[in-house]
Amino acid sequence: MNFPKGAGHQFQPTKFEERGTAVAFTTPALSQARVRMDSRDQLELTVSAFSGVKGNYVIRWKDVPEIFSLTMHDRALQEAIFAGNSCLPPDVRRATLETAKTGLAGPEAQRSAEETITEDENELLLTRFYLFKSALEKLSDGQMNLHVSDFTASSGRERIKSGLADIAKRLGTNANELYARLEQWGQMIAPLGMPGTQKDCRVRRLVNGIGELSDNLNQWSMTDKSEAADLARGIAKVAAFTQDFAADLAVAAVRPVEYAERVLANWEKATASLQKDIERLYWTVDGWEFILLLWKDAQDRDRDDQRAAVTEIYRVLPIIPEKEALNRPNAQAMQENTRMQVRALEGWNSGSLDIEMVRRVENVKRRRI
Amino acid sequence: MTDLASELRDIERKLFEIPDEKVAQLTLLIERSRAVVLSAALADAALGTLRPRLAKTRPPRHLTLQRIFCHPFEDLLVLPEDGDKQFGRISRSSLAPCWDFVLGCLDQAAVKELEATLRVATLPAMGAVEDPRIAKLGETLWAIAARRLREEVSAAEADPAKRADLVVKLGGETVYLDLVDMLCMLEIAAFLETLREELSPKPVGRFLDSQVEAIKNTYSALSNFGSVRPGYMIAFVLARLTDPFQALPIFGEMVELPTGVDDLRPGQYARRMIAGDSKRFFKAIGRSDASKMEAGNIAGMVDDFVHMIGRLKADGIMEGPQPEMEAAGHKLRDMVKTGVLAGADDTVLSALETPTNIEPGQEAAVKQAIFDAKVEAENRVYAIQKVAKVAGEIGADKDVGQTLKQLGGQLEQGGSTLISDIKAGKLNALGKEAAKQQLYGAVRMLELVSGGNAASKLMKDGLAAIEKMPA
Repeated sequence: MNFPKGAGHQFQPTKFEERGTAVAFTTPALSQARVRMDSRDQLELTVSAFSGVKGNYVIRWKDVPEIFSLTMHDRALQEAIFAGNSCLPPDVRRATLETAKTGLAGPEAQRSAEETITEDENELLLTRFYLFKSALEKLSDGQMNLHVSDFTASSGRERIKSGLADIAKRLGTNANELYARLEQWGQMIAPLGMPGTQKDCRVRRLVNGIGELSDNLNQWSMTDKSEAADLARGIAKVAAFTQDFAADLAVAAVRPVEYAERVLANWEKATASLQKDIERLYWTVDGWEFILLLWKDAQDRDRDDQRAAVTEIYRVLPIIPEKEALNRPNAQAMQENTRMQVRALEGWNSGSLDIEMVRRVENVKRRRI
Repeated sequence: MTDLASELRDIERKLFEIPDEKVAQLTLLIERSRAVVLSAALADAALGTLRPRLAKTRPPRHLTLQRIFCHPFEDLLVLPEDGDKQFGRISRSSLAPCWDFVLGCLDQAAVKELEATLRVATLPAMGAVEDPRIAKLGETLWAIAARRLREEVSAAEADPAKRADLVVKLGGETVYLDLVDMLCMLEIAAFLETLREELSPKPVGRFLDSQVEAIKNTYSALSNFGSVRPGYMIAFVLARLTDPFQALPIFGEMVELPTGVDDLRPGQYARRMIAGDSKRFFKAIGRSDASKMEAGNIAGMVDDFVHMIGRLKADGIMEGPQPEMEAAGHKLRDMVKTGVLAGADDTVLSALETPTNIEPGQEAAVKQAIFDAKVEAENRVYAIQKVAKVAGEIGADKDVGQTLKQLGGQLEQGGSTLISDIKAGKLNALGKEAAKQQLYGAVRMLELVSGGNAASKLMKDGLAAIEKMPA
């Protein structure tokens, strides 16, 4: 069913910040509801209207536990996000992992969060190593070699810093500052990893996964005769668009590595632009991890469950807001494509929590991309 | 044997790491080796191991004339529960004797020709939903087999002595009746193939409008198609559904149409088949051994049972005394007591214990043991809660309610003790973080057992106590 562009259109988010960040609540009615900042810089929650009509409810973040019957995990998560007072995707992700680590969403989600945090740390180390290696080789004309041991021992770090002294002077700074800049740069691009390395880091895996999901759902839609097939095709289009958009941002985010000298010499200006690209990338892929895991989980289930998963994915589909995708080819077609409205929230609003419904959402939390 | 068993375990472990092409090669090799190099049992065990991967990869399978012959009625096949004939179903144990009989009836030159065609037919692509060779070669085989079988069965039905001979030859009355069912399915195979396309992939969940339409049209066409028995199409449809009850209104409306079976109307045919399947399920419950089942599986069985009897009652199927159903209900009640409720407190409470004095080098093993214990405890509580929703239907509500109450009480008491220990400084040596971990564990379990309110209070009191711990 296609709805004409009507009154509701004016309330659709036009910027990432208006769309907000998806929150991995386990309370079924709030699953993937979004947090954003209001006009007074206070957190608020946007959640789909329960009766199945078009539109969202907007609720003050601090009132969420009063209005909804939350799981213990979600109470802790709500508090953690409230304490951080940020709706930026990396901050919400950190709060989510820290909350899952408590075990309040079960031991499997706890283990998954611990493993994710460890993997993040490894990816950070790996990215920093390759960034230092690449930058130092370029800046020293191949005179400086870097070994993994230089990163794991303080003596190695001192060796790097002393080697950086001449380069730093040339760039108008000192060795400590140059080292700190490289560390900070590595931290910024760690979720993507250094280009050309074997290991795909988290966000790159996510971007690839979104592309695979698009192919997968297109294929699935060809074997399905229900209305969910149309939704699957719609999701596949949005996924392909998002993957394309995110892949371009990812390329832009790591390109400065090629001209490291200029970046390190004009650090303030260069990082501002780099930070902006990375932030846009985070916003772009926000909400997709849940979708990938939901579909992965549904693939082993029967056709009815797969259709329900498609419907659920459509409900929480993160559309790139209009102003963010200006001038992109197919942007309008993608926006039009998502004007169909569906809902399948049977039994999710009976007041008390259904333990099996909660478990279904928690199941997704156990998995990792 | 040991080598093969360890090979199988290895395959099972690496199942999803093997490339698709290797899975396809392995499958064909095992299927071709069946009864030649490997014994049938070993080949089946190997295929059983591969099955989860086969469902995903769909490699081309080794095709035989027997498999093509069985295709029209493969949905009806069931493992024999007992020696009795089940309405609308065909026992797997009847396949071999019936195929031998059919093969004997066919013109051997035609069989050889078909086998030759089969050998040169192109394999379907990896991941193909259907094997096009089946429809192509089946068209010929099903027609020839149906014609020959009809002659044999008609002769047997006309002459009791011939019938008795055939029954002996096949190995029993049930096998003979299964052969008749196979024949009737072969006679409508062309219709079924068209309908199969509509009712795919299997199992079919909630009906789509187009599927309902296809069922009605096909049945109507079959009813006007010579002397075939359209009722067999009902068996085909029901066997492909996850919820066969949804088909009742469709066939119930066809009051004017025949089935060709025992003067039954389509609605009656469907109800009789569902009743037969239900009895099978009840008998399967009777054979279940709670000591060999996970609590979650028992809970799932209870849920399926209650759902099924609810539908049977609502649709007026199986009215009057139902000894199998009652026996299954009693059996489930016992299974819940022994397999779900018994020992639940030990399982749950021991998962909350924190080990002390861990031997050096044992940290990882202890961590894994704690994790396993927690997962087991959670699964047990989920099983209890799942049963709790429907326990009244099998008369287990008091037992389940009492267990939950008792467990909740024990968890609350454990939580109170934890808070007292925190207040008394007994956890000071461990630190705030460790104390929080213990608290979160207790809160999580209490939430699963007694709900959010009790857990919320424990969380609030616990965190307040931890806050006062020295930094």
